[in-house]
Amino acid sequence: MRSELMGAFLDEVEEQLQLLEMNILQLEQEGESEQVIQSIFRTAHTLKGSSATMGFEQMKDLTHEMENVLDQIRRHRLPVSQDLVNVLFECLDMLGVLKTEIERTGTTHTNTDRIAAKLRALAQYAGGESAPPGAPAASAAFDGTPGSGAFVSDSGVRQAIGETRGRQEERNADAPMPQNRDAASLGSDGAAPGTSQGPGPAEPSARRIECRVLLADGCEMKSARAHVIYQTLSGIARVLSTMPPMDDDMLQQGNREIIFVVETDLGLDELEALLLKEIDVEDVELRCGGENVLEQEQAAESRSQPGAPLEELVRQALVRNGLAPNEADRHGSARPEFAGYEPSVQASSAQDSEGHNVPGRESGKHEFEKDEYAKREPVRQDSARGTDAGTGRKEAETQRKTVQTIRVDVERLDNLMNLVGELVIDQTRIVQLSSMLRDVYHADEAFEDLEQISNHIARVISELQESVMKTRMLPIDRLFSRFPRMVRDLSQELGKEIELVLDGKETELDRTVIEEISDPLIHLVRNSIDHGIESREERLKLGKPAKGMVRLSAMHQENHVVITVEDDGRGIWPDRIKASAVAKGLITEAAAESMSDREAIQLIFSPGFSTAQTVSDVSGRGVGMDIVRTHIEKLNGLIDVETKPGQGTKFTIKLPLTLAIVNGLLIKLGQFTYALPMSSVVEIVRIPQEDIQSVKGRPVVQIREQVMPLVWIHDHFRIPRVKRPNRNVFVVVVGIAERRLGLVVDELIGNQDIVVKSIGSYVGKVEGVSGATILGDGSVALILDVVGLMKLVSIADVTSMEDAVFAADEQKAADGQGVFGNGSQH
Amino acid sequence: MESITSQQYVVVELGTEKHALSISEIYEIIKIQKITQVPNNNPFLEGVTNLRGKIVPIVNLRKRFGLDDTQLPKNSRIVIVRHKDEMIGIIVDGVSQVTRFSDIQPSTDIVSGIDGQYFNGIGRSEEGLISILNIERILTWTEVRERA
Repeated sequence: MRSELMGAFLDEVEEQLQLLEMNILQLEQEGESEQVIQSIFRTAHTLKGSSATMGFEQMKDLTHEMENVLDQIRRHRLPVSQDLVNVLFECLDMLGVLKTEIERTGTTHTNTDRIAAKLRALAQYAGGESAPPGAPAASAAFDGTPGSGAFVSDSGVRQAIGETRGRQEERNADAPMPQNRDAASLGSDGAAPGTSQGPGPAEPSARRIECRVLLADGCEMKSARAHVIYQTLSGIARVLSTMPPMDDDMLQQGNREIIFVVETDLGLDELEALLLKEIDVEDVELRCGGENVLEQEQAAESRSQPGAPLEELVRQALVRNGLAPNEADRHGSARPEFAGYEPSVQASSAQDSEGHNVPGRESGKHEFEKDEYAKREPVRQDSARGTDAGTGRKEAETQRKTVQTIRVDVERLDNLMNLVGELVIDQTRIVQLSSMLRDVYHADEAFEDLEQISNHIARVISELQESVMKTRMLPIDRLFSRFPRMVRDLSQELGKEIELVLDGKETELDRTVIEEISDPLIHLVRNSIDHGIESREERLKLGKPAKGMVRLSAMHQENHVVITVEDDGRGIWPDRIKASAVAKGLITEAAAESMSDREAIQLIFSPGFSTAQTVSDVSGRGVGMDIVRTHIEKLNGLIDVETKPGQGTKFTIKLPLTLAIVNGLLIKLGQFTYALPMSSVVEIVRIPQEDIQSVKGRPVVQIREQVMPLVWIHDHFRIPRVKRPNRNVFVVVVGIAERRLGLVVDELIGNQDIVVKSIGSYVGKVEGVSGATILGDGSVALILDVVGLMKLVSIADVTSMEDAVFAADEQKAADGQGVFGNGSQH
Repeated sequence: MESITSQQYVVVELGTEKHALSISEIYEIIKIQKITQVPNNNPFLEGVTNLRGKIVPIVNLRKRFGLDDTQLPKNSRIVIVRHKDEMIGIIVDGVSQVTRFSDIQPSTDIVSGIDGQYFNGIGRSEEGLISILNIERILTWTEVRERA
């Protein structure tokens, strides 16, 4: 139970963090926007809520600080600056770290003080308007200088809190400072998410009715009850905010009071009657809060003005010297007892003690004006539209209507996929059996039925297979969405201006493929930015736009997904690649001479090529390219590169849609059936035996312009070669990346969907075999692995110069360590 | 000793000899079915087969013990055992009965001309003395590691 809860929590955090990242990026790019800030705020708040529920204090505190800062932005007290965005990002990263820690160890131990202090400084800077920009306190905390208040020890803070609490109460009784009050309201838990209109001073809030609902003491599941009431209210009025916020666990620790701030044209009496009808509602108090709230605020503000700056300065000085906690801190931790009580009703709550029957009750009744409503409507809609997944209640509702989703454990899906695999196998067997039986029972009526049923099952199973595969598919956006942040960070780091274009985000592919492809893609994008895109000056000199472009795109192509990574950088220069390869001893000078440009560029995929030095010396491309290639080949994918010196480079990756079921070409070697993944089959040709030539002792065949090495896998698998009766041989040309190999096969059976199964750890790794599948007759066929085959072949004999690179490649793989390089590729 | 005597064993045949496997180690016993060869260095790995949708490696006990394996007797069976969370099939000449042992003695260095390390001991039963196979040792192919 506990772990299930934890799982849900971690899922949620992950989701929220992604959302946060997206929104902060948006904030940076598009500047301050009400919607984005609201969304960030809500996300932070959701995180705070759930981490508090799960008892992860550090996470809660951090998100709390974050919330404070965001609130200041929301109130236009804090401009969105680069520094601010950076701090938000830092904070986001820290949350990520905390999440990983929770995942791994079930607790958090990373120190978050530093980042919390930065946030606090920001919030404080905004709060203390009298302080000039870059006020000492703020900047000191930014630097993380000891003594900036950020490093006050825990006990020190607590002690100081104790002191200030007293002081604050005094002040509250006297004349609350505006910033003080604000900080308090946002500091309390109740800084309602989903409140699209806070009680901002600029906005008249006279039309609101505040409903104070007291639930019966014996009411069980108070939170659920509160939600029901919320629903009721939403039906008849616009709920602006609730206190505490509408969370799943909103009413805990014996709190049984909820305040709804609504806008409605219903009379107070009607409203009251409606609310009282609700089950478990013990008492209802209504007040037309608007004008009074406003008046109070204004009064408080004007009264406190003169005193504020001086006191603030003094306090800042204290903070600087570590003698007092700073503002946000004080409110953050000193006032939990006010939680769920404060913000939108703060000012009016003073009246509470005097008596409930406020004048507004009567006057507020008919004051609602239609045009006022009309004016506000679009605003509200906007904010609803601009927010994301499931944080705000309104959005959640809209979403529920459009997309209905459930979370499913990946394991279950995998299991489902396995079962479908079994079905696919059995179905092929049924088809085969029925065709065998046809000869005997073709006259039988029952047999006809059997055939019909068999056909129907075949159709259903293929649909089932497709559906299950689709459930496992995710839009590649899951992966692409990581890039904006990465590109942003990198471009800042390198001082390059880069525009990232993402195309085909909605392209779907199997989640396992998405997971596996993520590292290579990140690597390619990094390379593009790091080495491909020139510096701003260089670009301008070359007459290119100052802003470099990196384009990631994904699209479906038959049964494959094609992903491209493209940049408009300096491209790869074949001559430099050659020179570098020669210098590293990868190829001889003679070989370099005879090498075509295309071949030369392919050298970047050889392991020895990528060393740290090349980064600066040559084009820099090719760092860790061999790793990228290996990764992609493991997925039965292909990678290709196109480049134009001075204009850019484009990597094209072709991947199968799914790994569990692949389209395979069934062939026979001797009497044994093998399967080749269709994705690595380039073409099938039939050639006369006399066309087989020998180059340096190796059989080759010329297919169109290309000379292709020929291989009899038989020799490597200890299968006797079959003497063919006729003069032609079948050659299946297989290819991985740029390499091509012709396999001589004895028989071609055809292609069909095959379910990939592991041959298990007992048999272990078999070179040239990636797995096994079960055929229609129930027998097992091994699935050939083209990369492995190429290894097998090249170990057997290496003669030509071209293969020197190749051999080095293989040897390195076999040795498990670098032959040429220093293992610096990543 | 009580646990030993209460344990049941399946007696399998191999050539003229009888061996026993603890019934707790056996997952199931199937007839010989089509086995697909795997190009692998393990000399006694016969290949893999399909056991209800699972790929199961099959080892040949005759080959393991260095016996002549040209012809599979028609009573041959595959005994599926669990080994390190995997199912592995062992080809034997036949499966005769289930038995209990009244006493188990440690095995000698050589048992019927086969290395004694492949046996857990010699069990005494009504049918006589039967050597008990050590599945772990039989399946472990140390040469793999040495050669690699």
